Amino acid sequence: MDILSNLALGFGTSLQPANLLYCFVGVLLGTAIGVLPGLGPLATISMLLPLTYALDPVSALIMLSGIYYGAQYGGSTTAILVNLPGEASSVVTALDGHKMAQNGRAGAALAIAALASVYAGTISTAFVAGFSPILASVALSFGPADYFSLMVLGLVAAIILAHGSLLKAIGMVLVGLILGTVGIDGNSGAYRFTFGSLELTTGLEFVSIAMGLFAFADIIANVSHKTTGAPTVHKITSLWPTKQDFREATPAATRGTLLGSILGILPGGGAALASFSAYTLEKKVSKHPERFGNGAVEGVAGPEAANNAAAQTSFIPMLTLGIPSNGTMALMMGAMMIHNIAPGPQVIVQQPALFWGLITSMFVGNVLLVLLNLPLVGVWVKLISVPYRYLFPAILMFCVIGLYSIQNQTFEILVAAVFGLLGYLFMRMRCEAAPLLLGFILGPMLESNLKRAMLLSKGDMSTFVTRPISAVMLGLAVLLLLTVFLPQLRKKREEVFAEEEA
Amino acid sequence: MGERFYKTADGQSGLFFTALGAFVVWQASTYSIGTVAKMGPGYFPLVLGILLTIVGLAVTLRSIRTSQEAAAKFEWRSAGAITAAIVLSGLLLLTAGLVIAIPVLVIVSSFAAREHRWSNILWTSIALTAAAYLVFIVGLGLRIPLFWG
Repeated sequence: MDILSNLALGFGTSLQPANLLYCFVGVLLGTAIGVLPGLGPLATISMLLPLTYALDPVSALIMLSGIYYGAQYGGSTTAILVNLPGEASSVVTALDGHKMAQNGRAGAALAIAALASVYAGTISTAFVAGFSPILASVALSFGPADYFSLMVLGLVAAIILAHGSLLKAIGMVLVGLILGTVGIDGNSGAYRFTFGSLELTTGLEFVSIAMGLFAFADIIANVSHKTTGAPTVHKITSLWPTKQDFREATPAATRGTLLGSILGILPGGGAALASFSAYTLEKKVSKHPERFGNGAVEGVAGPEAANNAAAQTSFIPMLTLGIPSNGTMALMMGAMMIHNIAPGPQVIVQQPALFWGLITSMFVGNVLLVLLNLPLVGVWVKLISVPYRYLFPAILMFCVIGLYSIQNQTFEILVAAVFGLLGYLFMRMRCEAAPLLLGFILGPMLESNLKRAMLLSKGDMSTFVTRPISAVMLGLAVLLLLTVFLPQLRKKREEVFAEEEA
Repeated sequence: MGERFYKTADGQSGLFFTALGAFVVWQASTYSIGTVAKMGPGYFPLVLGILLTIVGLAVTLRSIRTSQEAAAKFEWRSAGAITAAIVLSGLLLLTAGLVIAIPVLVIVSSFAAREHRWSNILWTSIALTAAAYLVFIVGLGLRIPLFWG
């Protein structure tokens, strides 16, 4: 199957009216929550997961992914206009973007952000389309030992790229892995950690965990001190950037796209890391670094391109290898498993319409976003003036009913409530929740591959280093761990995170 | 001058991990372990539990040795109100129906916010119940009881 016929199949699927509608709903919703500070794609997708049971898998994934990369757009709109970044990845955009707005160039800033994003989105979608089949065909020759080592590499990378203390991130991954063992063990039929509860025999529902850790915990943390006044908006005068702007922005956007595409693939990477790195890169490469912070166009174009590119390429490991590169991808995998599609290299072979439909929908979504955002700017600004005290009960309502609808029982609601408290506790203890979710998703697969590898090698542990692919994976994992302990890189990592939290 | 280690974020994390790890080791050892070649149901959880306990001890140790500030305050009021709201409305959804569960959710959760005006709460309850009915029962066709009985 060559690439043109694949793309034809993909567009044939994604351009169907129903899927176009879901794509539109997804990017619209994504932009809206990107605009709202506090509510992010992770919480929203976990809220909507129960509802996607009723949809067919392609439509569900198209909509959910639209939410993800749409949120990157929404975050930058408010970052530029009112210096309130809606997403972590838009924090750097606010630095120069808002300055541009204060200089009366809000329109140009918004346009640059939108165009850089669609530029990056198109290129990175092409990258995903070209690279994925190759990766998938390589992965088809993996044995259980190789898969095990690949997942270990994924978890190690996620640990390194998590905020804060490495040790605590390792702990969180372990907690997630342990939670994954709850329920009936597939091979032996033994009950593990069920404590006599009938509902727990099928294991913990990851939607409940996700909603609790991200949506509920978030609300608990924010509810006591979040208000919203009407922020001062800067008037939008000229809507279009100048030729000079384009000349400066294009190379920045290209660099951002490249950087973002690479960082997006790395497990634990993602849009926020990409945008920060792109800003740092632009500052280093620029002939006039003092312009940054005062309305430099590159400071908007680079990060915006990077965060969009990263959002698209973060789908690659999930779609081709079945390894989620961040929390949102873990939820997407969950959505696939809900529809009985096992994520992994066989998806591209067994479900080509799903695979190519999803990839082409990203391109469609990017186009929709540009068409959507420039006219709707005024609406988004109105949206952020909604007081939090009306917002959070609405979120709670959606979550509670959504959780009930999974199995038509109250158990999931109670589980999510427990995880909401736990999630809040984790926030206070400064433990990142995303590695836990990754561990939970990968846990069962990690265990089954380990068992099978040991069965095949008759208990010989050296199989993990004698098999070439597995050895390479584990070697990379060790390398990654070592690099973190090197003093220079350790300082750099802390710098990046310190900037993010400021 | 740092705080007592059990008041710091790292100290509390360490204690949490150690306690959970120890619990997992204790439970997992009651399941059949098997051998490396033929792993039983208890093997993987046991290994994880041991690793978690080690990590927990390391984090706790580090928190004792380095001087740190106290963790952010745990807002009992917010946590309690939100959690209670979720649990109560969840339990009431099947037994008393949407019409009772959603207003309970709104009212109980409003105690988490610092200030609340009853007129706002009333209107929000009505609006959200109506929205829930329209979106979930009418729009998505889910089977959720509207009233009790």
